[in-house]
Amino acid sequence: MQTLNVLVVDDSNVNRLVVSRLIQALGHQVVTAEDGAQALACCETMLPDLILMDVIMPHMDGLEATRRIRERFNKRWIPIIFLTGKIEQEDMLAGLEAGGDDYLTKPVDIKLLTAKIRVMSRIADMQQRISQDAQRLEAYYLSNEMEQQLAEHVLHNLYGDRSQTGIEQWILPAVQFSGDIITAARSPTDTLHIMLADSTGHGLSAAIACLPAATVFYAMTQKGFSINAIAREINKKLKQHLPVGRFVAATLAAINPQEKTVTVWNGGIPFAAFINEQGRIEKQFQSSNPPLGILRNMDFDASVEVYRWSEPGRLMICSDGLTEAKGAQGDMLSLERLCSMLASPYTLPAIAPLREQVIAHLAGHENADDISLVLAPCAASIGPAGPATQNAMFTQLSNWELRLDFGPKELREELGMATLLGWLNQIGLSEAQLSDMLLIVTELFNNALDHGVLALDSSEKHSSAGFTSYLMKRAGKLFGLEHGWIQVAMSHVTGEDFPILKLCIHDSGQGFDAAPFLHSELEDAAPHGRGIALVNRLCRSVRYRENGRRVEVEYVLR
Amino acid sequence: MSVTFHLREQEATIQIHGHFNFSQHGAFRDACKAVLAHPHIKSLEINLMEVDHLDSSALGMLLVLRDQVADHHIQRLLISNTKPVVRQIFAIAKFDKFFEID
Repeated sequence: MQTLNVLVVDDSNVNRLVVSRLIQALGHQVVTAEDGAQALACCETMLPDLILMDVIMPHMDGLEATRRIRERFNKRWIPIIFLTGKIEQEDMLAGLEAGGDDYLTKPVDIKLLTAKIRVMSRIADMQQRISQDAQRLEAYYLSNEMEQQLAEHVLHNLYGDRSQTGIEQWILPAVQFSGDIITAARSPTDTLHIMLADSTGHGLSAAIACLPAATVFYAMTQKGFSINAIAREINKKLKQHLPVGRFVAATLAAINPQEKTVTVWNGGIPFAAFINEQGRIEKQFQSSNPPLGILRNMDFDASVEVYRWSEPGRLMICSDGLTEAKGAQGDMLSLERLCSMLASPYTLPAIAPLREQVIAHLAGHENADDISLVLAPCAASIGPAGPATQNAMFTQLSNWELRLDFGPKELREELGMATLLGWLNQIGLSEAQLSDMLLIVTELFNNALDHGVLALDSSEKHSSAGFTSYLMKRAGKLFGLEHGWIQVAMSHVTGEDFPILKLCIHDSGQGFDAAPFLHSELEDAAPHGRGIALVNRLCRSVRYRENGRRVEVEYVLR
Repeated sequence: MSVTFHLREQEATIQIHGHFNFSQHGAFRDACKAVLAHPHIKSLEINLMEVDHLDSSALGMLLVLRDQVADHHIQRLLISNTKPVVRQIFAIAKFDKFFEID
């Protein structure tokens, strides 16, 4: 047993001496006091581990002293044993009432005293441990609160800004933090990118796992990368950063108002579909990939599904928290029913009734998993663009020329546009210039690839039935590509008033007669000539050479 | 017991009961550890006959197990007796791409 500091309080010298001896014989330290007032003063100097207290004393009796000690030192429990000659039950009760813990009658029996000291010491140890644990718990609770507040702030800022995207969204976390996130941003070419991501588990750890996905999504969207490139990059990041067994199911979608297409990459999200204004599912995008962060990048399949709408509608995506939400009878939600509630013009807000339906379905039960739902209008325009922010200009060369050659391997692996995007993002263009150039490069490069190298007939692309077969033919031809090349050259020269960016794209195809497209107006051009007409409008000059195999354009950097 | 296992010569079976989710994490990990401790095991079957539902943390546990199995040179990892609901979840996550699911 450890050595205790014992305070012996008695007005009788003899008693003090006898009891002190006994306690010292047991191996403990002794401090003595002659009355209650002195006992209190002793406690002020040093708190004892145990007090043996006489009841009847001058100045302040044992009962009063005990009451005061309890009041004064309420943070820590000190065992107090009354020593008294009386064994009346009334007195015993009064002592316990005043805050005493036990009784010993005088003359003190050494065996009984030893046993009682041991018991008190044991209880004191326990009490001490509990109060230390409580303090640690409180400190942990406070620091946890602070960390959660910080995390909430960071996450909110990261996912907060949905302005100018026109989407409606709803997230119902199962605990404080959602492991589901929804991100949306416009690309420089006015395509709307949306991601709904659902990471393993819920709470803060799940929310953290989504962070790399969100940052990559925003950075790459801003630079004009397509969703398959973004999905591939997120997969790589998550595979690098997350431990095995943690992953993020996600759907990435791109809504292109000019082309009237929805492009979707779905890895592990149960429901993503195009719903028309009659509230019917026109096209459902099945999950065709494992969630992000599982596969090595070399095994990763970034192929996407493309759907072209003829009449406007909405894209709806939701996580398994919603598709698996159990009602009062353990029943599931009917997704057809939810979709039928979207029978309204795409311009009208529509998410509120869906939310109410889901909450009614849960019937007061807490959702077991994070629920997230996003609705995005699919129509000819995303909505007004925000004010363009001017990029900080940096010192750069005023005259330079670059050339890139893409062979069959590069074209098969679709490295062309990705490389060009990297380029365009590094030559110091303003946001508006980047947007124009992306459009020009995308249009001309895709023309060179699809109609030059792959010799696909563009008229087929624009019938509603032909679009799917066109895409399949394209994928097939690209997969088996053995010959062919595309050369891209870009140069920056000083112009009269403004610098000029010259772009030349040359392909190995058969060429075509570009004249009709160049001279048609954008408004009355045939659907498959719109691209060239658009480029023509953005550029100072557009020239086709070598029977259409080579195109040269000049863009003024004003 | 929510997770049980049997060993028979070179084959091992781990059986899970009820909802396969994070609450089974400890039991599942212990069962895997016990099975993997036997060096002569050549094939491991995860029997989901009694599993009504599983969530993403269960998928995560299976991914972890898949890595461990590879480290221990076990030749075959089979997920067996999946109910339609469970099979649907595997299908959405495309786990059939890298698990043998029966």
